[in-house]
Formats: sequence, C-alpha cells, structure tokens
Amino acid sequence: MPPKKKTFAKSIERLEAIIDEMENVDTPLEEALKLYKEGVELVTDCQKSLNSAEKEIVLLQQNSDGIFSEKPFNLEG
Amino acid sequence: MNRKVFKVSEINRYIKSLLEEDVILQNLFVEGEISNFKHHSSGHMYFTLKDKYAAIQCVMFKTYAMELAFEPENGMKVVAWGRASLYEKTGQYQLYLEYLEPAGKGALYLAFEQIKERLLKEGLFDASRKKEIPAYPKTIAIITSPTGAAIWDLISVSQRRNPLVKLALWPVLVQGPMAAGEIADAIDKVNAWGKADVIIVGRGGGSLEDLWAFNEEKVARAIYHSKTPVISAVGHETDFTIADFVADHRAPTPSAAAEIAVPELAKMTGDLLDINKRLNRLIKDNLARNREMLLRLSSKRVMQRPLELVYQRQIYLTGLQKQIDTEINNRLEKNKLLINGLSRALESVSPLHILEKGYALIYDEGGSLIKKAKGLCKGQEITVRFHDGAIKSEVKESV
Repeated sequence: MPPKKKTFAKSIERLEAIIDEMENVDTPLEEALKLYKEGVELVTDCQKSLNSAEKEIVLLQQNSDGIFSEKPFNLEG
Repeated sequence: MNRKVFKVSEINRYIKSLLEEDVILQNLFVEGEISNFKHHSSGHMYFTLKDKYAAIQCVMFKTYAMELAFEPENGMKVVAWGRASLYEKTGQYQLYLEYLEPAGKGALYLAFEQIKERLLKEGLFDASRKKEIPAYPKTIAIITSPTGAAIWDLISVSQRRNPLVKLALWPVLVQGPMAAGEIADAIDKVNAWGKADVIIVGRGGGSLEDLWAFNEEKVARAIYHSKTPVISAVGHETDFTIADFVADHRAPTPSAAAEIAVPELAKMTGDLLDINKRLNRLIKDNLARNREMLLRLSSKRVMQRPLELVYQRQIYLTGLQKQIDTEINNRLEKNKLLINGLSRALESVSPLHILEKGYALIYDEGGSLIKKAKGLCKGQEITVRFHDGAIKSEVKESV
C-alpha cells in the first residue's frame, strides 16, 4: 500500500511552512531547492485530491451493537 | 344493620389505589403557577401549583429535581408532567412530578437567564475552551431535523460551495421534551464515530418554546464535551440560545453555518494556484540572489588581480625592514654619543688632566710617589713628572 496521503488541511499547513522557510533569505539554495520540490509535489497531490474526491451525503446510524453505518442519503427522497 | 367500619389507613389506601389505577391520573401534564416553593435540604422539591380557582400540592423527588434545567421560583408558570397519588399519612392527595418546563414567554426568559448565568459561572462559555473550526474539513456531521428547512439549506449551500465535502446526517427531533436528549446523544455519538471534522447542530427559526431544546443543559454539556468542533445554527440571526454560547462558533442561520464550515472549492483551487505561484517566485528569487552573490564575489579586486595582495604584502615587508634598519642605526648613534660623553667625563677626573694645570708628581728612585718633603735627604735623586714628560733632579736642601 502506498503511504497515506496527507489531508488537504495538513498539506496546506506544510505548504505554508515551506513558503515561510523559502521566504527566509538565509535559507541556502540547496535547502530551498529541496523545499521547492516538496512544495510542488504537495500542490500536485492537493490538486489531484480535489479532482478525485467523491461527493457523498450519508445518513449516519448506529445499531444496537454500537456499530456505526453510513447509508446513502437520497437527495430527492 | 350490619355496619362495615373502616380504619382511616384503609380508607386512605383504598383512595390511593383508586387514584393509581386511573389511566389519566397516572400520566398527566398540568399547567399552573408555582407557589409555596420549597427546595428541601434532602433535594426534594415541594410546592403548590395553582390557577385562578384552585391549587394542588406537588412533590418532585431529588432524582428528577436534579435533572431540571432551571430552578423553579414562586410565581413562575410551568407545565409539569407526573402522576397523582395520595400521601397516606395525612390523606393529602398530591402530584408526584418528574418533569417541569417553564411555560409562557416570561418564565422561559427567566429560565434562560438562570441557565445562562449558571453555565457562564461554570466556565462553559469560556473563549479559551473554544476549538478552532478547521479550514478544510473533509467530513461534516449535521445534527438536525430530517424534515425541516434547515437540513435542505445546509445541504444545498454545502453542495453549491463544495460538492466534495462529505455530509453525514444525524436526524434528531429538534422540538419537544425528547429533543434535548436526542440532540445531546447525537453529539456524543458523532464524537464516538470520530470521522467528522466539524459538527453543525441546529434547526430553523421558531418561537422561544420551539427553540427551547437548544437552551437545555444536556445539549450545552454535550457541546462542551465534544472533541469535534461544534458550530451552532439555531433559528434566525436574532435568536440566541445557550447552545450558541457554548458552541465553538455560532452561525446566525443554518445556511450561514454551511458557509462557515464548507470551504469553497473554487477558493481552494485558487489557493493552490497562488501557492504554486509563490513557490515558483521564491525559488526564482533564491536563484537570482545566489547568482548575484556569485557575481559580486567574482568582481572583487582579489578575484580579478590575485597577485595584488602579494605585492601589497611585499611592500609592507620592505617598509618594515626599513623601519628596523632606521631603528637600529638610531640606537647605535645614541650609544656612540653616550660612550663619548662617558669617556670625556672619565678624562676630566684623570690625574694627567690635573698635571696639565701645572701640578707635578714626584717619585723616588724606587718609583714610589713622594707625598711629603720630610724624609727627603740632600743629594737624593728624584723624578719629577709633568703632564708632558718627566725629568730627573736632585734634592739640594730643604727650605
């Protein structure tokens, strides 16, 4: 299994940290290039996640054993 | 005549059994005004419910009294739920109540203020306790009535802004005596489910009575204990409920709640593009900065004429050497002068120097210096030494 992708929120948080570090003029070029590469990869992942997520509206239920289940919720119903 | 004589206790027990067999009397709602209210140290409450024409004794035992969302007061109008029975000891018939709710606007407002003040003191509204609403939730749980307008507002606004956000609906009653329990339970359950990033709990507009469930302590405590951030969305802009004060964020309406919780997809895409642009600009800036630094360094004299430094050092060395020579010569000269001075001083104290002034030294034949006339005899040969030479002479006579 591929490593779990970061959530959008976590990715944005990391991207902001990357930008902060790159904005620091004392960051050496090698480090900046490394950060840049990571940043571009994160942006690409995020863009992909925005295209691939499935829209979903579910009815959340819990049975007598305490198990949660998600039933599709019919918008027209 | 055969009389059947009853004991007092038998009568009371019989009447009590009659009351307790009556279906209506065992499950009734009564509206009335509270008077003679006494909250006994045992925790039980005793009071009279009355209207214009009549009054009934009432008891509310500790277990139920503790559950009350408000503290009853004399003059307060309430709706009570309970059963009628008889207190055998005194023959007093009374209502055994299990639930009380304030009735009418005045009582509701009073109760509202009471709850608000109590929970405020307890710290349930503390700003420091409020959790941040996540900027990009993946899943939002919605706790509201499945039939009201609120749920459709929430769904449609959410879908319009960002169809990728998952909505998990948990239908509850939002009105009536059961509502508060269901809402509180739903909040706990969604927390147990653990997959929601935000909870929206609310309902559409209504009267103060309609919204009452959202003023109940149960709901307030469930919101307070929720690990998932809670947005309250009750009624209209002007409606404030206890739930609003406890929630991590108050939305004025259900639609507004969806606008607060659901990030616009277009904005997210835009944000990503912005970030991408910033990354590109920053790396370009960094490269430019480094190139400039390289240029600046290579344009320095030392890089352009590397021997310059060597020449400079040589000149410096030569200068030093000259300085050392001069210094040594100076010292030699100084010493020479010193020696000359000293030899002159020496000369000035030399006996020869005295002879120059006209003195002479006299020696005997053995070469010993003669310092006295006495002891010299006639005919003795002496040597007289002048500064420029010596002569031999003879003693003629003493004078």
